Amino acid sequence: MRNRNIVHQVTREYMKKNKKRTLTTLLGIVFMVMLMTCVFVGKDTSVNYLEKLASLERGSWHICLYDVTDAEYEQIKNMDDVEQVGVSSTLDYTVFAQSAKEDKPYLHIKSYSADAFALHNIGVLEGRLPKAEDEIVINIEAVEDGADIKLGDTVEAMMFKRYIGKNANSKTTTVFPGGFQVAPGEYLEAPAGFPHYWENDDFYENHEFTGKAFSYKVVGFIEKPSFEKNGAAGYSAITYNNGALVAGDEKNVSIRFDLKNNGNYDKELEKIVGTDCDMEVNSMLMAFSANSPDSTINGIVNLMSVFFVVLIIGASVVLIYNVFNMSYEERSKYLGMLSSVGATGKQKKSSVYYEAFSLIVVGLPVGFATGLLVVKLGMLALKPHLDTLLGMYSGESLDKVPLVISFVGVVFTALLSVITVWISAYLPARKIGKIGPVEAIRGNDGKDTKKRGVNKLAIRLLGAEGLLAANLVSRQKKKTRGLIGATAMFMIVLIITTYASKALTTLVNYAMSEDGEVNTRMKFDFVAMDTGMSEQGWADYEALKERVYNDETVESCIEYYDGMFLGRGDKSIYSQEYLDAYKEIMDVYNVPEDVQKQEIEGLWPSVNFIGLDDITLAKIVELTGADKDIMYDKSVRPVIMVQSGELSTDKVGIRGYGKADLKLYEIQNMVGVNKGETFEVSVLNTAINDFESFPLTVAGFATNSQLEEYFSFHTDMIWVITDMETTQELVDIEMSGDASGYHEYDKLLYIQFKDKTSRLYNELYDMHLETMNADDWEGMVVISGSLFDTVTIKSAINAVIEILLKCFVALTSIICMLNLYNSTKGRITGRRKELAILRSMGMTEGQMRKMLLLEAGNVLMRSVIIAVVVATPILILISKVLIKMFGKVSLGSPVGVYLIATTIAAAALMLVTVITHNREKSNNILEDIRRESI
Amino acid sequence: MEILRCEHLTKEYGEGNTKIKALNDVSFSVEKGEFVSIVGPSGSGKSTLLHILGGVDKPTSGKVFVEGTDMHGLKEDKLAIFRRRQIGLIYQFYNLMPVLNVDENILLPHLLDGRKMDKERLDMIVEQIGLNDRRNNLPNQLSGGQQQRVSIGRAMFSRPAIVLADEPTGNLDRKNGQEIMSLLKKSNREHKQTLILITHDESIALQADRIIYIEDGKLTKDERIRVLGGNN
Repeated sequence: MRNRNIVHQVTREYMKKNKKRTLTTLLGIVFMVMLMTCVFVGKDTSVNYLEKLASLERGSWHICLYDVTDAEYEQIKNMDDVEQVGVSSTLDYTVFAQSAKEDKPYLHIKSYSADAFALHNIGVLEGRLPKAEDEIVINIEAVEDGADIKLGDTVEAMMFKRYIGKNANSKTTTVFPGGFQVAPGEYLEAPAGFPHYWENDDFYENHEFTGKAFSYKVVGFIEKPSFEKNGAAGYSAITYNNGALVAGDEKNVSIRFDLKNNGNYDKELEKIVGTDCDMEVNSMLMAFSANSPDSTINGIVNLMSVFFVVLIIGASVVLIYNVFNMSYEERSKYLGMLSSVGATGKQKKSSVYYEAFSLIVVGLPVGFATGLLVVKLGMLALKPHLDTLLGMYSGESLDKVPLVISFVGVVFTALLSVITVWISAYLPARKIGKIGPVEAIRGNDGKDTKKRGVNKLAIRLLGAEGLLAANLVSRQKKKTRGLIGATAMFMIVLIITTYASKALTTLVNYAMSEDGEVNTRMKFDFVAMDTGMSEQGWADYEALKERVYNDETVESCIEYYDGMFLGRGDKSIYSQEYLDAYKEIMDVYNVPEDVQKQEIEGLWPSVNFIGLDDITLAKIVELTGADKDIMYDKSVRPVIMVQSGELSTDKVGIRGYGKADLKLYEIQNMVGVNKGETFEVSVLNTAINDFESFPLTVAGFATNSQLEEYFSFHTDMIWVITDMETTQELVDIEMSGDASGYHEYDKLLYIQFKDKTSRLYNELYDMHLETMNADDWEGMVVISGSLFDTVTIKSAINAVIEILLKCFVALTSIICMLNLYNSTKGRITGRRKELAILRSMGMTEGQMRKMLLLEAGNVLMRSVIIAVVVATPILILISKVLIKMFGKVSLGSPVGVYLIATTIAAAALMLVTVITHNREKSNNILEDIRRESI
Repeated sequence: MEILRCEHLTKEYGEGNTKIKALNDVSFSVEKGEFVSIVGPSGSGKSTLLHILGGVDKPTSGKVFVEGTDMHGLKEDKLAIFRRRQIGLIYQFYNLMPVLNVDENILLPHLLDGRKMDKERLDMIVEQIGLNDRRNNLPNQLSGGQQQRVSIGRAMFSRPAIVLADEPTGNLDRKNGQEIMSLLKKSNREHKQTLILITHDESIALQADRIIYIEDGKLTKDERIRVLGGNN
């Protein structure tokens, strides 16, 4: 006869008898495994997908190095983790006689090895890629623009470099868009992608021939490579190189790594090529696998993974533990019987473990399969969103979302699931193992032995229902503990996930905030702009403004005068908070004290202006509570000073102190001047070529939150908001003399329509199309607001992280909700007899519902206390860790999160109570009273 | 004065071949202040009858009138209110609320009725059931006999029209059983409390004014032992 384990046999029977409870435990395990799978497989799958998508834009290379020597190239090829190396070389410019565009008169030629073509994702639209050094492919835009060139044609290339020179007798430095500056008397090589500017008396372009001449056969046309800048003077053309033949220090090397080892690849490469070597990192591609050189992104990706897993384990442990604990009384009866006939503590414990692990045998594959399905469906659901986010940049998307299942991911999922189940079962098993046979059978283990007085307060306040609700919680602590635990866990998970998600999003927002100093947040259908290039443009702009203000179909209109870099101020304008943050940034770079002092002494802050129309300014005066007497005093130049700012190692680089990990310092008070105070700014008067003092009076201060409808500032500079007249006065001073080559100060008109079918709307739309089709922007231009909806890669990552965090909060909440439902159901079902007695005593349905809801309220109060006590130190820890890792960023008060979590938990608890009561309600009082167990 | 009347009570369980008639056309009435014992062998239908009289079970057909009100014609909530005001139920297994102490358990139907705590009556009832020194104890801190006293106190507190006791001594030893019966009889004699009691213990049944015999769901005999209001 087969030797059967009687404890296991009884446990199996018990599991069959309590099908619902067994199913709930199984469901909990399945959910847990599913979520673990979502974390591990989901992460790999989404990273793989995002990497592929990101590589559509710039290629699949991770790091590019420029001007690498042969010896360095050999070392790089032999590095660990190097998967693929492509070699490219820049062969400079040649005149492109066939060009049909005057401002694109050149070909900018590069040579690529076969690997470089693959790594840079060069897409051939016509013909093929070059296979020999006398073959070439050209950007198809040349053909689209009307160039007289076709496959099989020959291009004769006399290579030259472009230089920009400035006459020595000029008074000012010319700053070209993009930041390239040429001072009087300077003669500099034009940067890559430099546009074609018509020479004038002030500067000139010169071509220095390199002496190299080639003859290329056109074998294909390619889509515009990502490296070709808009407005560049030359169409990109690429020929072939076999890698080895590229001259020594002219090699540009594109490297793709096997990122599994998460190495510091940029640092490793620096060891080979030195810190002076020009290095480019495909950050977007590397960010998703936590290999970005930006430590913030890596930190966030890694932190998110750990954070997800810890919370899933926490929520799952509470759910599974609760199920085992709820069945404790029932289980202890049959185990007590077994104990009375000789079952040992170990055998009793094995009953719990047997149940737990027989469930995980089923739960693991089912959970894993469900997880794969969820990941697949989730990715398919997210795909259009991700494609939109990332594809708008590259204009492409991927057809399929293949699941990426790594061995490590599977092992981690299984291992962590087993550990979670073991932790959940451990305490109930230990308790069961210790309980004696008699107390187990009688079920009087741990019964309350305290004497209790009449709860008069509860009776007086809430009657019999209140008395019962209060006593059912306070005098059945062990039975209520599961429900309080489930509710508290629900709240803790909600509080932590919501707060951490909010904190991470805030950090990501800071770390990846758009490069612009000021982002406009006004809603608008069109923005009209006077580019300041012609008198006609100004007249057109003013005429349009007049029409817009008088058109009834216009909902709102804001005129904004952009006066960035108009003034300079004394460093005393900065607040001590700013100076302290600046000092901390220098500490990050390990700048010595004496150098820090010099740096601070040398600060000469730029004071930037935003001029606003009277109506908008009045609204901002109201929003910020600025002093109206000062604001509308015609004898002074009033300003509202922006207090929100930020400093980061990204914004502040200290010359000669290398690269520091990214640290952020959010600044609440950028300026140290007082309301009513007058301070001087210096404005360049081009007529006298010297600075002129201009007094400004502080009418008030503004923060990002006050200005959220209008602007958001991500700046380490001083910004002031003032009226159009003051801004104009300053601009006039700067433009009074020869201001050519200076920054243009644009007036912008943001127009929002209420009727999007109106004549003016359609006219503006036509003007927008004209602007888009124009070769140059001159005079007044109109741009549709929809154009500004396009997202950048940074905001794409930000959005993806936000989506993933929201999904995670939702999924963990499901586990907690399941736990809450199960605990509430278990509590109500287990008290059928008590409820039937109350009904037999004459309790009405309404009274019973009131009692259950009061009881739920009581449970909620206790849960809130536990949740606050448990969650607060965790939140403090999270914020301290995040601040330590990423800098001093205000992560916001958690009070709102507590309130939201309490409201959701209250609603969930009440709803589940009512639903469960209605479902479990029996009309047979007698049958319920006769039930054996309570 | 008639306080309870039941007419043609029938209770059936199951369907088809498995249909069982627990009560078959039972009719009788009870006078105010009467002490009636219902006796019969196990499975005869006496508990079913008591529960239908107490409003915690519904008859398949027939009517129960308590002080002229058709009890089972009431809607669920009205019936619950009727129960807590007019019926006092005593169960064999006490069925006390485990989270309420002695005082709170006794007060429960009174409080459910939204009435204020009557301290004087509570003191009197607790005194009568002899649990003055156990008032703050929870049910699991009391013996079986003490728990049954609490359940009697609970049934008596609201001065219901009828007290229905389902084998109140069935779970107690002889001494405790006698004490419980004394308590019930005292309430019947001193406060004219109408009492209907189920038992299969003949000595207990004989303490009543009247004995109703039930067998196979049918009322087989209705025997008056002593005149209403007579002495023991």
